[in-house]
Amino acid sequence: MENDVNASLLQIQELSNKALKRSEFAKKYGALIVFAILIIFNLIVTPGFVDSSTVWNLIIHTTTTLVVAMGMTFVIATAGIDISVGSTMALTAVVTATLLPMLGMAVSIMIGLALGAGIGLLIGTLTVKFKIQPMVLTLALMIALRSIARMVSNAKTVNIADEGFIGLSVNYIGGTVPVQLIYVVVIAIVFYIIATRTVFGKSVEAIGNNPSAARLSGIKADKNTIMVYVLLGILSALAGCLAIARTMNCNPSSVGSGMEMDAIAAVVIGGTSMMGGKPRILGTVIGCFIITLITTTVNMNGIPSEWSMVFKAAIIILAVYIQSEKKIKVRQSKIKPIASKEV
Amino acid sequence: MDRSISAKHVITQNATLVAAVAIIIAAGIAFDNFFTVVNLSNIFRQASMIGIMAIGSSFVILTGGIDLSAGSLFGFAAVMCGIVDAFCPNPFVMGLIAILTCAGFGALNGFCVTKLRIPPFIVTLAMMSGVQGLGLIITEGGNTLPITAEGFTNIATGTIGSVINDKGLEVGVVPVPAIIMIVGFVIAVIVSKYTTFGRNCYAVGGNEDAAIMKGISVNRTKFLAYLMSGICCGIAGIIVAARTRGGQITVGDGYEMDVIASVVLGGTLLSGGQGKVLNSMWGALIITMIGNIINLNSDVISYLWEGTITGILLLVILVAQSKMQSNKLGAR
Repeated sequence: MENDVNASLLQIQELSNKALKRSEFAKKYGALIVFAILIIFNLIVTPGFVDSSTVWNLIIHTTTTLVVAMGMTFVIATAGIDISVGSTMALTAVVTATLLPMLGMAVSIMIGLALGAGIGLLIGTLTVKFKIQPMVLTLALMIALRSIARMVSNAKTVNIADEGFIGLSVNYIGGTVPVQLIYVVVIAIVFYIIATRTVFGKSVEAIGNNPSAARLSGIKADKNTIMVYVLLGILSALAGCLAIARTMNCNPSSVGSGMEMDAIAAVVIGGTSMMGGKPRILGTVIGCFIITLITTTVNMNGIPSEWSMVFKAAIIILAVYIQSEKKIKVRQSKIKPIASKEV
Repeated sequence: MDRSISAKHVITQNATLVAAVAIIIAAGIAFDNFFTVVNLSNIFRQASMIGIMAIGSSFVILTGGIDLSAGSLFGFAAVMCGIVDAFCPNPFVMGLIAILTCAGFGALNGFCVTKLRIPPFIVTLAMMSGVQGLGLIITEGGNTLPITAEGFTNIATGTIGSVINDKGLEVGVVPVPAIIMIVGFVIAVIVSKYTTFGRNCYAVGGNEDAAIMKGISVNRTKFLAYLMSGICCGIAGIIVAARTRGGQITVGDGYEMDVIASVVLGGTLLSGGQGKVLNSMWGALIITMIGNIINLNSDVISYLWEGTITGILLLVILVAQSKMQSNKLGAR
């Protein structure tokens, strides 16, 4: 009798283990599968896709999203969210661009990064100390910071003439390889190591999984949560610099607009759960490339660019659906009913 | 003592209404061009669109979800009015088709959230971009579709009752969109308080597991909430189409944030399960009034301040809310 019960319990356990493995597999490789499908599709359909310039363009257009999405991965892994990143980019960028002629490149970039860190510190502190939901908090900041950014330059576009600063984004190594390639590789490796090999990365995962358990096991949850937002603030400021260096001017109304949506979509496509948990850096990297690749595909095939918005929507839904938690299907026929025997 | 407690209770329960009244009084004293019949009726006319969308969003947020697609659906409804106008210039048909289209998108949101189990933030984010893309494709890059149907503009510009102003001209008092909004809120309050669906929304948002155990159909409740949000966006879209006499998709850019901000100003928690639908209307009025006051006094305050003031006001209210919450918990 007892053996029977145990046997069925084991069977259930085995099935749920399988389901867990399946969902882990989908989380780990879901983004990669979607990316592979997109690449194969492009190889067959898109004329002139097999060209080194396609790859370089893809990397150039992905860099700013990638920088923001790295920080966003950690924020989402702690079950938080930040929709003010686009406005943070605009404010730090316009401040950097305004100071550039007066203070020189290094100092003005440092001030921009410090400002970004300050905004992150504000968000983190208000979330932790006042228990305000990050979604509404950053909504308020998204509105306020964008408006402050426009006040800084009186809603005018600031032109950038500093050669060194522009070189941040428009330099080519050996004449062909864009400097962004280095950024993408270095940033991806650094944050992969932070996420998987450091105490900070593990703490973030623990906080996302269960904040009270993390606190009880001696992790400084408050400090780490604030750190996560500070990190995102700094990265947003960096992305702002890279973005305006590429366009060679800074329009506070358009810098970083829609960035929050792209970054969050990339993180979620990459398999990081919005309920918190493991920060999946490599997934996010692929997620960023998927988003850029959709636009590239549409442009290279001569389809009106509005279609890329529709495709983006469909692919985001598809990618997240592949990874969503499916109900464990336990087939009745496989397991003998336990309930009747327990009595 | 008893009375002081109840007075305090009334104020904390209706903090948004108190704030709205305070802003009206302060603005009325500070700016003499604020407290006129024309201006007040204009504020209501403007607030009605955000307010109507906030009704649907309130229910979605009560269930613990969020609707980021409101702005796009709003614009798309206006575009649908323009499309139907081209071959059937009948206000009733135009409105009906616009509402049905938005209801369809709302249902699609609900389907993805409930059946495909994708987080609402992602579903509605994708819908926001998808619907806007569709609208841009239909209007060939964001052109305005003209609307010529007779009587259609009355939906937005019509008024009930009139007074003679100081220049001897007759001006309307109560704009039709405001009536639509108020009727909408009355229905919404009744639905949220006295119907199974309304109560289920609170239960699902408060504790989903408990709601399942109580036998509430969580999926059905969530689906209906998103459907309702779609319908509300449709109605608001008709008003903007009538107001601008044209269907343009970009008219709704950024509106989703205004809508969410009004619901949040109304004290509804984004974690779901707590809040009053009616307070969203005061939230919508506050947001509209800030813009209105700045517009009226553009020689004193630069229009650039609008976002800063709205954002900082939101922040202050959020901090105050969290203080009140922690006081309540401390008292227990």
